[in-house]
Amino acid sequence: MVASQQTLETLRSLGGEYKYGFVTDIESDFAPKGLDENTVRFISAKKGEPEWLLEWRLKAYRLWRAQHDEGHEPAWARVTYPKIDYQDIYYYAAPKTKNQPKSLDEVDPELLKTYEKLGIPLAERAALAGVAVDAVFDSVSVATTFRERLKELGVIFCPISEAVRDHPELVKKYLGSVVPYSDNFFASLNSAVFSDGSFVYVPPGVRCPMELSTYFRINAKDSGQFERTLIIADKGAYVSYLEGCTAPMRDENQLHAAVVELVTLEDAEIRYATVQNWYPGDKDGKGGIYNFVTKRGACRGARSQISWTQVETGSAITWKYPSVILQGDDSVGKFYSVAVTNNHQQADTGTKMIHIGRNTRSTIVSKGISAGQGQNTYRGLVRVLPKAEGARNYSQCDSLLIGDKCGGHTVPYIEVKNRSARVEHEATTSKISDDQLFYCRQRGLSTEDAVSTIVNGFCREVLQKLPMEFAVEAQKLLGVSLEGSVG
Amino acid sequence: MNIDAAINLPPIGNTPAWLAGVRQEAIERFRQTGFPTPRLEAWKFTNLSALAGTSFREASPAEVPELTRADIEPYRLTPECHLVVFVNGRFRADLSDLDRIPDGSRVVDLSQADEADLRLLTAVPTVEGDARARVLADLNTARMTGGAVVHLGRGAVLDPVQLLFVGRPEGEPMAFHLRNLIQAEAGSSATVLESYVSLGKGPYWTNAVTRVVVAPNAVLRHYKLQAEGIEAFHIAAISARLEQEASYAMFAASLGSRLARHEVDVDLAGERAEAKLSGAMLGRDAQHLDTTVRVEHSMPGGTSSQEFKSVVDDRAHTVFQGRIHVAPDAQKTDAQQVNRSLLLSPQANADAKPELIILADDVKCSHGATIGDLDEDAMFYLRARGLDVPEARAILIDAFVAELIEHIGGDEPRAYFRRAVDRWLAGGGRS
Repeated sequence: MVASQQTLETLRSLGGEYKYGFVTDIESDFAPKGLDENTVRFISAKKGEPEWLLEWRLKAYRLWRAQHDEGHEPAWARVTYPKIDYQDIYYYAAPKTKNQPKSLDEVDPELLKTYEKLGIPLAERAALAGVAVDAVFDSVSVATTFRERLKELGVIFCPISEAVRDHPELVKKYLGSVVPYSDNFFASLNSAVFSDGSFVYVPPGVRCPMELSTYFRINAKDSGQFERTLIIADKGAYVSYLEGCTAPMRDENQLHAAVVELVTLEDAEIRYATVQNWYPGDKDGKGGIYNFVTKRGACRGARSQISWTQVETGSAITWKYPSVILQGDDSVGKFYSVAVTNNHQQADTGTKMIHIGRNTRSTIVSKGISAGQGQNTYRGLVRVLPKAEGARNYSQCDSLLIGDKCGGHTVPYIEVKNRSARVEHEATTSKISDDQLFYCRQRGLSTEDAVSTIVNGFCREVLQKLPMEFAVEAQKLLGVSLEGSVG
Repeated sequence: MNIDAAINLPPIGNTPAWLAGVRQEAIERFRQTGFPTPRLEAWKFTNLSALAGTSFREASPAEVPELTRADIEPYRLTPECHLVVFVNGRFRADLSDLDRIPDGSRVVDLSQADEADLRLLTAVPTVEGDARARVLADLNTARMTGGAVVHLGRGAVLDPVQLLFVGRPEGEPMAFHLRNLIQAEAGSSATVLESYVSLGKGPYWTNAVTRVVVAPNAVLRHYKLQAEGIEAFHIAAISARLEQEASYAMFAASLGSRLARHEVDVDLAGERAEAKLSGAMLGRDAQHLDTTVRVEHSMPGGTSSQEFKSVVDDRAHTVFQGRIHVAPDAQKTDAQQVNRSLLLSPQANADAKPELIILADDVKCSHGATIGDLDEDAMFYLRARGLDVPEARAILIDAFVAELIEHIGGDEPRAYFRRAVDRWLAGGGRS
């Protein structure tokens, strides 16, 4: 009951409006609008990148260009949106800083204020919360904490542009090894123009002592954000990574095409959690973020584990399939997801579990909630290859519908080429039953409170998998996202 | 496949001008798209290149293979049932048994179809689907040479009617484009069994399109046995439209053919209609068996269930694609789907794509899919009781399929399928 009480309070404090809809006014350093080879060269030069990376970007750009010109933008997802004019987007925007800040005091106060409004635990709050934050403002990382402490353990946690400079051998070895630049239309675009993102390397046997965290924000008007995240857990290492996002209110749709690559070697484990609450557009479906993301992890080593946990409440359109390639014997992949679509939001999200090694296991739990005129699709693939002796998958996909104008869809693909595999998939679709509502209301809960309670119960299996800090925020977000959907 | 030959459309009775137009348009669509490829979502798991790469001839009306009633006796449901026989895609009055069809009902060949029948036969399916994925039905529209028109009058009750399609390969591979209509008027009740068998060896292609209309309060039990020869291709598309409180049960056993696709589209177009769909795919050697089901709940209060299983041995490959679509107004829908696949050999391969598209909120919909080997605990239980591995396996496989056969209504049809499955389990089963 505490959670729903909090939800109610949050709702009141918000007055039903999007909490994070404000614009920070700082000077940006833009690349000219539009995308051609010069844009790619500009970004690469701006970052002072080595030749090999520029070449890689250019290869990606040329491939993307060819796909774009032939009209091969992916159209298979169950989402509709007007054609994106890729020449009408800024591909690079960095906050102007006279000098690189060395401590928080040197950071632009405008930026700090922004983070404060977002409630990011930076500075003392970061220390109290025990979270190391690599806060990304538009495309350049502006402040990083706990770097020193991590350094002692040999953990590298830095903006990827820094990693290119300081650890080129690691970047060269792993960048594009899980999501190659040719992977898909949006991954190619990202590979060509990615501006920044996080890089994490955890050396063998090290258990990262704190949750690593990044907050992404899209700020400069009309600038797409193209983040690139690369996380490597070496043999026996462990790391938990949190990603949270909020974006200010805009009327134009903004494009976000990120790529996240995870690699685990023998006995290593990566937990990746996301709370995504980008601007979803207004009640009439105007504005909002297009979130076209490629996330993939490779369990390269035996007994390694990767888990994706996501709570997706934001964005006008979500197109996202965090996947795990289970190469190592006995490796484990997990996917826990809550996706909420309200008003005119559309989500086509799910996962892919590719079983290659022996005795590989995967678990998929997906909870889709649709309200208003939202359309929510789970799309997933479980593939068991011939060598994956003893592979095991369990998938559960539940949809909850609130209101008669929304849709909940389930599209699983199951491909099994090994007899010893055991693959199970279950899906249900239902609404909040009148009986459930009646029961709650009879005990004095308002309808809204009752819905919030029931929805939180529906999602419990997933919310439980989130790290503490996120679980609370996620619960609140669910309430906020579904506000006004009943009654 | 020589598409250009299809321009000279064979006549059906006295082809009216509108029908000639429909057939012309159909062949144009086929010419434009050609055979569907795995690039089309609906054909993602089934590659037709072997079919597209074979050149087929059309059997001429003058070719009448010599067959006697004794030859087809083993495939007959019962000696008493109404029987309509087609050999190599053409109606054989001499082998059929249609003397006892009650007044008010009709069972005739396509050539005897009246205008209303032809309109129903060529109507565009109401279940949503990619037109490019349906071009084989277009080819059928252009080339259809025969098929059964089953018309059940108001309130009619018909003993089992069997439609027996015999492939008798001779010379160059032949293609048979069959077009069937089953129309159950209000309040009627019937069992219709389609059997596809082959007498003789060699490649041929059965391309069958069956249209079903079940009027208010009518009950139709529709069963299908696909036991074509091992070199045959079998593509069948059933599309059924159910009106208010109509009840439609469909069971299909697919165990023949080198490559087979059994496609069922059911539109619950009237309130409180009911569809019960089930089937078994039994594959071995290098067979590729595909079942694709699309259930559309267009109106409120509908109930649908699907239970499909496959048993996959050797290097065989089975595909199950099942879609439940609930339209925005189809409140109070109850739709369930279950798909289970049993892999019996290391090279066996099964794909499943169960799909829920739900646009109404007051519904109960679910699907479940499993793929795997026999249950270890069950094996252990049987072996602990002294059965050896092959015996235990045989019992479990038998039980796996037997569950489905229980859905079949009527002792004789159930026994008919039981025999077919037993033949398969014993290593045979295909004609």
